[in-house]
Amino acid sequence: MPDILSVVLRALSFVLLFQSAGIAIFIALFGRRLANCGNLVRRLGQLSATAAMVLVAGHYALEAARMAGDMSGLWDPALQAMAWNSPAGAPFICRLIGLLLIAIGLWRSDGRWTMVAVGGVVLAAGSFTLMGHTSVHAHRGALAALLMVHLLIVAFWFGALSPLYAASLRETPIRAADLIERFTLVATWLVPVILLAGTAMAVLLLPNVAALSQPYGELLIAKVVGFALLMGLAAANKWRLGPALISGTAQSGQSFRRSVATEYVLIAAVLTITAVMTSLFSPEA
Amino acid sequence: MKILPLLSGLALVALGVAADAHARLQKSSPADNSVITASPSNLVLNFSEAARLTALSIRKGEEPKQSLKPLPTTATQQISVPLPPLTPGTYSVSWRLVSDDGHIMGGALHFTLAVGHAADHPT
Repeated sequence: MPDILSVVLRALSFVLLFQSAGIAIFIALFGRRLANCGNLVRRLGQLSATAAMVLVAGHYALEAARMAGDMSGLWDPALQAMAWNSPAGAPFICRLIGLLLIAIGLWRSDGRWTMVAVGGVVLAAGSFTLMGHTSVHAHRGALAALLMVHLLIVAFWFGALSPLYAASLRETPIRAADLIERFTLVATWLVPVILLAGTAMAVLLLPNVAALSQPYGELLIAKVVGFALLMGLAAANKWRLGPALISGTAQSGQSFRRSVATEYVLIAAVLTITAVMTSLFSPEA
Repeated sequence: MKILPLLSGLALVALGVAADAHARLQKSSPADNSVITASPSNLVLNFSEAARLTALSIRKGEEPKQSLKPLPTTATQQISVPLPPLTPGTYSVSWRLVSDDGHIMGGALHFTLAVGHAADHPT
């Protein structure tokens, strides 16, 4: 029971954390181009960061229950103290501070506030390098750098979806198409790095090729399949649906938003797979 | 195409040095899936590396589980915990531990105490 609940909270916290972090990155890069929906996007980022803080805290509180193997651990002060002093303590604090800075930094559109939010993104993403398989590996430095790059680009991609969706609804067709084109220009170079960094991490973490047939390896393959589907959708947005927005027809807008919504669901699914994979399984098992 | 030699190089390096971040059961007494003929006085677990055990219990068939104590207060590679007198039946031992990377892992082993044999517990 605590394992399932923990994975659910972790998966939801991943979705909201990466959404808020990505919105902060999007605002920093393209915020000036959101003439009509900038406030809406920032409020969504704040809401996501706040909800993520609650979920991260809930997930952390459940660690003691997981240590006990049942929910009784929630009320066991010795296990709660052990959880607090475990290697998960520092990343928890780091993640909460990062999310808090994102929520605060998105309060205003001013550049200095945005930098506070971006600082929060770096802290929140950095918290993932402080625990887990990468933190005790012989190639710790390389893995931490790869993980950081991997996570920041995932946040950049995932967090851009809601602003792009909002822009296609609230901005003028020409402005929305221009925004999509500018985002795509950056994404075209960055998104493939997700796969490269992920592959390099897998090579370092997996003990041998046979590990791909173990649960951790199978979930890793599922992530790669999800990524391949996402690349197909992203290509459709780049070559067909984005440019079609300039026409300003209702159908072009709907097609674009449907594609963005599908991308959102697919990335959320990949994040959920990651939550299961990193909570319950080990690469070397 | 330059990326392929790079990844191959990384793979060769990784295959030689990949670290085991999680403690796994290497040996136990009673052994996993064993059939024993006398009630053991202690349960002994040997892990692949030192780990902090946070919960340990034994369960006979579908009966309620029984916590085993005392647990070590520090991370250890081998633990020995006294067992209560066991009656013939099938037993499951399950545990939770915290690995050195902070992950909480669970594990279990099963053994059968065969019918009709005397316990070797001290009386």
